[in-house]
Amino acid sequence: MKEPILVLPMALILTCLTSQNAQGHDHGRPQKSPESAPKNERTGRNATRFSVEVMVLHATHNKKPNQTRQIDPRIGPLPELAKEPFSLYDHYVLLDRQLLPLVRDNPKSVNLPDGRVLRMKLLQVLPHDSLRFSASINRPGGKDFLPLLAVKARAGQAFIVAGQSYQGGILVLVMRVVK
Amino acid sequence: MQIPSRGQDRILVKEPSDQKLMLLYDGELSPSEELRIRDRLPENRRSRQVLSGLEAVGDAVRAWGEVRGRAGDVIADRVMSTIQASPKPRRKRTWATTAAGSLALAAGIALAVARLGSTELQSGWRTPLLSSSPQPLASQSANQRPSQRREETNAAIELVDFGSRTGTIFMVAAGPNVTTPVVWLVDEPSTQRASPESL
Repeated sequence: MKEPILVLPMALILTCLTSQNAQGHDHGRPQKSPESAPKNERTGRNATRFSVEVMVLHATHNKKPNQTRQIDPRIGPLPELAKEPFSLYDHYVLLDRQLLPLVRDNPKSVNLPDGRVLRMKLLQVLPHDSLRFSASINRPGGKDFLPLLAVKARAGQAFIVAGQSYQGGILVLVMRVVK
Repeated sequence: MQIPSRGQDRILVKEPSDQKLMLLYDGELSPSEELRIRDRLPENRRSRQVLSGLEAVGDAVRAWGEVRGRAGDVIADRVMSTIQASPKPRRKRTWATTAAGSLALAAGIALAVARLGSTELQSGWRTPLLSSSPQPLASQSANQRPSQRREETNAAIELVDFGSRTGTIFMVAAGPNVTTPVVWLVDEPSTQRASPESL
């Protein structure tokens, strides 16, 4: 008859521990039941659902007069290229396209054609599928090109970093948040 | 009853504004509106002069860029000069990070916080208002910055450190009510750049 007496307190202790975890007190571990966690916690847990698509474009001018404007069809629809100052370049070629998953405390890097490195880091997950993340561009062991850029964006929104000199033209980095 | 001739009838029509003509030059008008304005060009001397002036400026800039072989600088200078020519921000004392010779920029301390409430420039670009005072990200929530709410349809540049380079932030239209923020940096020492006045 001693066994049931010991089992009952053990069961109570286990129940208490389980309910504490379900309420989200353990911030360091992934939640097994996100529905029971507070809203902010849920968005933080879901950070890996977001990625940033990075397109590296090379913009150049016509070498011969009367050449028509050419935009690499792999770039897809990008109306910004038809607006100044991007419209001042005649050729756009897609050099690279990468999808970087945004994970907190796990910066992602992209090697750029000019030897520099684009580094992106998730800073904060906000409500309504909104993110705050940072980007920087530098050359390993060299001078920073863009030490820091902090951006707030939602899925589908884009921003552009342009101006790096590369092979007679410039690099245009188009970054878009995807979910 | 006297029926006005074709020419007399059109003289009474209002001339297109300079902004319309710039949009026409940039190819940003709707086909019907472009046709309407072009149809009246033969009778509208002033509009023809404005358009030819725009074309001349464009040709000169391109020619100058080809001569120098550094068209990138031309574009960068145009970006900078456009920003410098923009109206003063209304809310607080601000400065655009276009001071090529600025010691502050050269020291690499240029931190600019892009504000929303953008100011439309003549060229059609939109430049965010810039603040010289850096603001920590951690204390900036959407509720604390009500001016951001109306631009939530677009990505927002919240903080930029240009380091020792010259750069600027502006907005480019990507569709109806959609603009894309652009960070443009000059990838050469500012001392080698041509001044905008030389254009």
